[in-house]
Amino acid sequence: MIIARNISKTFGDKKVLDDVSFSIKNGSICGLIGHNGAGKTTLMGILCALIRPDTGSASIGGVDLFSEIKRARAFIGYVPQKTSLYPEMSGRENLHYFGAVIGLSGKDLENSIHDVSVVVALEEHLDKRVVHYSGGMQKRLNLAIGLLGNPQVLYLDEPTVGVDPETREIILSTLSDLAHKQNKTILYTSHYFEEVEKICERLIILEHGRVVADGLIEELKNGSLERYLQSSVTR
Amino acid sequence: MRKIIAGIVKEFWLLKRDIHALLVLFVMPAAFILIMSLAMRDAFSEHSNVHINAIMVDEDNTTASREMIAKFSHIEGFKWRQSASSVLLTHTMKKNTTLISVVVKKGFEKTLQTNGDVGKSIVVMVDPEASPSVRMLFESAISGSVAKVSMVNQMSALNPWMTSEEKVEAASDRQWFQEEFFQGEKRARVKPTSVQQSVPAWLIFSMFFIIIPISHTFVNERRLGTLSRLAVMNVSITSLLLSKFIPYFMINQIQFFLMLIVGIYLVPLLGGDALVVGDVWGSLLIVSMVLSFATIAYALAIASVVRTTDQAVSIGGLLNIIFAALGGIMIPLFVMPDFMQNLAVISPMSWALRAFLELFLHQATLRELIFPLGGLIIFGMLSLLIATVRLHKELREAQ
Repeated sequence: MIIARNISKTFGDKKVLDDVSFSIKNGSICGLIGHNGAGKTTLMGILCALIRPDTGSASIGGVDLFSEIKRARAFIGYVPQKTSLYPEMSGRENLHYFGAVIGLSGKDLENSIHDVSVVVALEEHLDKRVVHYSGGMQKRLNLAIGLLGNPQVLYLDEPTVGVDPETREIILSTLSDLAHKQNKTILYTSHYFEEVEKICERLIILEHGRVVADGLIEELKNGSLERYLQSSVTR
Repeated sequence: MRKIIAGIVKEFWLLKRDIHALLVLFVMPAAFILIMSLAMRDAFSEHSNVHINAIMVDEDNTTASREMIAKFSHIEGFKWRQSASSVLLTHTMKKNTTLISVVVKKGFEKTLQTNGDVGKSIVVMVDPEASPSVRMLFESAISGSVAKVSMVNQMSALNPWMTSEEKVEAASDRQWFQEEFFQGEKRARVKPTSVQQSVPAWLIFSMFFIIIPISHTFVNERRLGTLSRLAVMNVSITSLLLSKFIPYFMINQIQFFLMLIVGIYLVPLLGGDALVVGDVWGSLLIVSMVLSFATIAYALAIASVVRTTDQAVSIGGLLNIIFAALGGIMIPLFVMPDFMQNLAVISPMSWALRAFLELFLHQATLRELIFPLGGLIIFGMLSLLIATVRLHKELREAQ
């Protein structure tokens, strides 16, 4: 579903990504971990077609990301790390606006708003203004917006940063259900290995812009992953 | 198109909850228009209610001197009081309650009858605190009255058969010219009033304050990464800018009509002059639309270069106040010295004000407004360019 081939990107004289290649198959959750500055956010930007790589290519659902940006992006539900919402609007108004932006209207929009709010357990709070939501509720609404329109691919950029354990559980179980019951393809970045271990079958480790490990978590446990976790502790 | 409509609806949702912005956009200019129209009404009025205290003393106490005093008392713009003697006059002037006075000295009638130098029988006393313009106005009015009395006296000496009616006619305050206000080719007579200055001035000022709601939303969208999210949802920069331009353009036009209504109906209810628009409604609407383009583009440019809403409000507000002070919004340009009037050209608010005043006072055609409108369009396009470039850069850097 998601294929990245030989992606490199340099900002100024700093090489942020160096010949990154991987592929993620349908209905799976792939974790992307790496220390700060490893290149995770730039890679996410490239996979959203917000940044053009210096070299390499990427495709989603067989559609080339950089020659058919709009068509490729139609597959993507993007959940940024920041809660990218309108705090003065209600949860329903936020969902309504972003739903309309992706082309939903009428009954389809109302149904989609209902479905995603049930998935993130916010259906009783939709008419409150977001500014009155707790941090966890805002994160759940942030996730719900990414789910609008039932996208085939989900990019989640550290969606659990700063949330309470209960919300973290809701988010992780939601993602697990989406992948396994709805056959979504999910790319999940996180600082927390225990989260990744809990929901991902597959793991990519980025270091200094290079893929240093890519495989099933169980296979990596005795090699690259150990070294990565060791270096995390010593940092 | 659907994305743009969704963006417009969203902006209205946000705006209806931004009470402070609504107050600044609608209540502030209405209040300013009312206050400034009433405060400056007399400065524009033909029959001014502003009176300067003036004292006259008749030391001669003859028929001629009494006629002279009666003539002085009809000079407009002064609140006349007669004092019994020069000693009392000096006392009053020392107390600083009167800055200006005139004394008809003893022997005035005799000088008049002998065709002597009447000027030596009239003394004008001016306190140094009196402004030069008041002094000049007073002295020229006194000179006119004395010259008229002197002229009648000389005419009757040359023509002993002149009847008393003829003398009264000669001495009457005749207007020696016809006053017309230039109105361009149509020459419809629209009397200049304070409301013609204050309505466009405070309308322009408030339209520039559209920066408050625009920056509040736009800066938060940048700060919270909402713009990146929208880009991933295939919202183009053009759609993004249009979805901001259209609702605030509508808000600006509502401001325009409301402030005209305040000028036409509300100001006269409170005792001020009514705003007279004439038949330039179409041109006014075009000026308002061009101004709106410039103010929204300027607001987007400021909102795209600052980091926080506080910065946008303080930088935008400060620039607005400087533009207003320089551009003749707070103080009419005609009361400013020449170098300040020349400096006004750097303020886009002065271009807009000039366009509105040309329409209100001279019924100008749009062709005659090419410079102020052209300036606003160029200003708007440059601002829009800054906003677009910044937005492109921001979306690239967002990740």
